[in-house]
Amino acid sequence: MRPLAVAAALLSGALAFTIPRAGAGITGPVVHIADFKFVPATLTIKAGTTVTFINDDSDAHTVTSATKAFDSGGLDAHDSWSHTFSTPGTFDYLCAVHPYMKGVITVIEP
Amino acid sequence: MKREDFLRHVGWTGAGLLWTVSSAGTLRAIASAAETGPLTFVQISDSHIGFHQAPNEDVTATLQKAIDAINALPVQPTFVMHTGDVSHLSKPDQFDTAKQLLGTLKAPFLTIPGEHDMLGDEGKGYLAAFQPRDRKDPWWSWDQSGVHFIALVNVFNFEKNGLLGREQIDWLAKDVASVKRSTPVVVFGHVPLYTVSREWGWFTEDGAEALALLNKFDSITVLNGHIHQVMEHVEGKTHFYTARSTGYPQPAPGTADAPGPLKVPPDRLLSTIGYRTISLDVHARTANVRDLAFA
Repeated sequence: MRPLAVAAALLSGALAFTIPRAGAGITGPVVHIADFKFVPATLTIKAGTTVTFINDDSDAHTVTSATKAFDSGGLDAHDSWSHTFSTPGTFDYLCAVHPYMKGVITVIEP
Repeated sequence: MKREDFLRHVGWTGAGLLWTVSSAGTLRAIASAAETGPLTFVQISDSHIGFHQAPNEDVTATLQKAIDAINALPVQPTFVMHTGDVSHLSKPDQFDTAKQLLGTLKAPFLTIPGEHDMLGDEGKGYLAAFQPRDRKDPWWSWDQSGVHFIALVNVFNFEKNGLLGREQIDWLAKDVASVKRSTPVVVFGHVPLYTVSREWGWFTEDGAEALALLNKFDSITVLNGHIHQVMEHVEGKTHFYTARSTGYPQPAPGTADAPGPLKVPPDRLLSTIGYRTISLDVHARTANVRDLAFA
């Protein structure tokens, strides 16, 4: 995607960034796991971006790629886990404890 | 008659003559019962070692409570089956703690995994800790005192739990093919084999296929965990019983927005967790299931 397109996407809200609730040192986008949902469930980022997932629930969850390209393993309450998405593409993921919890990360050219 | 059939027949008749269940549901011994005793076993489930939130910040202590209660039973059970979620996060130290605690049971100890035992490593840590070396698959069956026991694993597919999968269903078809229909069958699984709540994922996608294979039997008892609460359900000849957790309760379907730990007040916790004893009257082909809370 050209820089102009990225800017347009940003303005249109297609690029969603959430400000981390807590945790010094987190600079990239954050996906919260709250009330058995990934929030936001869809996220578009540029390749090379590190996304941090934070489990706000008291139950355990995971962030597990449908193709097993990445897997957080079990995340306890308040645990966080970060992953750098280096290649463009669409990455479906789910919680292996509750597979009906689903999310998508779309990675675009930097 | 093949030797195996003969032994099965003898075992079944022997146990059946000795014990019966009274109308009150309590086990009653009849003539010479003391010689062999009834076929009793214990189910514990969902210990979630490593969990440390409300409503139970010490699930190790409550698992210990279960073990102490079982070890104090006047007649030791034939075996103790843990129906999964031994650990909370599949961490090696959680499996170690669970294994050490469960190793203090006086009765033989068996286990099947829950989805919490499969996280991040596809079950390698769980299998290393609990799978006997001489067992090929994590699912298996055995015959004991005239009963055919089947331990199923429906948490191996991380995208769909519960799911048994083609390989296991094919195995089950072969397994039950040679078992007589009059043989009482007891099935263990982690996730309920029937649909408790589709919305919360409390069902086994191909459970109906497995249950169809079991339908030839006169008596089928299915014992599950996963949902941390007692439920009974009957479909034809099949009786389903889901068990309490040894760690914490979960809400009943429809009473909360999501599953997960139910934050009961501290003084109520022990009345919501516990263990279960099962006595099988092999002759009448009935199971006497007793759910025992810690308080």
